[in-house]
Amino acid sequence: MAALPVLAVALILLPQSTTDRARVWAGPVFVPLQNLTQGWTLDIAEQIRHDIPARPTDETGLKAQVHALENALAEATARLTAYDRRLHDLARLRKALDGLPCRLIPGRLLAPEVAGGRASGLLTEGLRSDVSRGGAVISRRLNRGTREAIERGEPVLTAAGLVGIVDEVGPLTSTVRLLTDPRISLMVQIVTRRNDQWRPGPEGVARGATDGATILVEGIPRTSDVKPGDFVVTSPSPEAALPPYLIVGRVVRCDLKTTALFYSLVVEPRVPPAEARDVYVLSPELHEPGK
Amino acid sequence: MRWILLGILGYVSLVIQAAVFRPGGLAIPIDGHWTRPDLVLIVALFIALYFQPRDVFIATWCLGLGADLVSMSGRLGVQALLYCVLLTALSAVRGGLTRGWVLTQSVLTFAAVLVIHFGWYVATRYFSVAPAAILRSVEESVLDAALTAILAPYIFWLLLRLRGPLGIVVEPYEI
Repeated sequence: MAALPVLAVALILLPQSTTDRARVWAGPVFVPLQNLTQGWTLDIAEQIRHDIPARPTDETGLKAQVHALENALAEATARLTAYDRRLHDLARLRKALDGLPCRLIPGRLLAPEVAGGRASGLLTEGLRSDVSRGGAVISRRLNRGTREAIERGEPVLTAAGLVGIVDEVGPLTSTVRLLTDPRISLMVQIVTRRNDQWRPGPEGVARGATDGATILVEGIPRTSDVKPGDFVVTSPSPEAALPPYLIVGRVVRCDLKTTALFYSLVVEPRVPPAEARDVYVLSPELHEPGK
Repeated sequence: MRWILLGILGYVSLVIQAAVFRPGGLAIPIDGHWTRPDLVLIVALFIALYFQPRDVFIATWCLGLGADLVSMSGRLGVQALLYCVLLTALSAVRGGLTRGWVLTQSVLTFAAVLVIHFGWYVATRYFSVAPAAILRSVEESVLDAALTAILAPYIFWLLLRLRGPLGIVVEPYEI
């Protein structure tokens, strides 16, 4: 009999792992009946909990839960609408790209205020750089970067047309040079519509105008049939850096000096640069190593 | 025969203890502690009050070991040691107690649960390299002891219905 306390002490001194193993071994002795009893207990416990009338504090909690769920539902609906719009955009873009092997990376251009480009934000440039009140935005921030394998020079577009070109790429964000940036230079083509007939027109070079709102297309011969309302798309020429036929804008004015050999077209971008929000970066398809 | 019946009683109490009075079951959460009555200890106390001291020693040791085995944590042997030492000591002094009284049963149960659970909580915390948390252990033990003490007279009454098969001799005034 005296051995029992000694045995108990010896058991206490066993390592925890041995104790746990002993419990596992003892499991089959207790578990079958335990499982049966547990089922009944859970039923009883559930009944007891449901029989207890809700207290006023619980009602308040319930109301808070209902409000939280309503909020979540509204948010989910808004998100779903945005996703629907994205899918619609992607479908249109895919169709327009006509099997071009590329990735369309959805992104969002941050508001100029957020990126510190306008309003009361502080700029790193000032009067010395000709920055004045009411100046135009020619660069925007995109919430995508090297993490999404975005690279400099890739076009940024919406379903309505080209917005700009990726300039500087950071790990999480990038800078997008908008089409209205005077430093940008694109090979473009005019597409005309005469008597319901669409025709490809002459090619030229597009640059951002200094007003920050329009694009200038130069190099269009004066003999060309160009009118306001014609479309401007990216050039299908092999030398062009961008994929062909991305909508750039529509001609709003055709300037021609008497002695000039070429038109100077003022083009309005299809996507107002300051308003673009949900965009897609057109990126080459990634090739997995070994494939 | 009485040992077989005692074994069945112990087994049933262990199963009910582990399956019914557990978190999510009928254990009552109070201040972060799942308060539950200790049915096994009530049975062990019943044995201590009505069985021969020698039988008490073996039976309570086995019940304590069973309680250790169905516990989810702690070392084996802690409850076995506490049960057999405390309840054998109680068995030795039970002559001076009116064990048939409801109040006696409740008070004894309260005291036994308080001591044994306190010892077990402290030991479990000590072996799991956690702070001993003496006051917290006392608080948890008091809650368990109070709930067990409320339940004890009913279990004693039920167990006394089995006094014949268990071979217990009880004076008529004790029932």
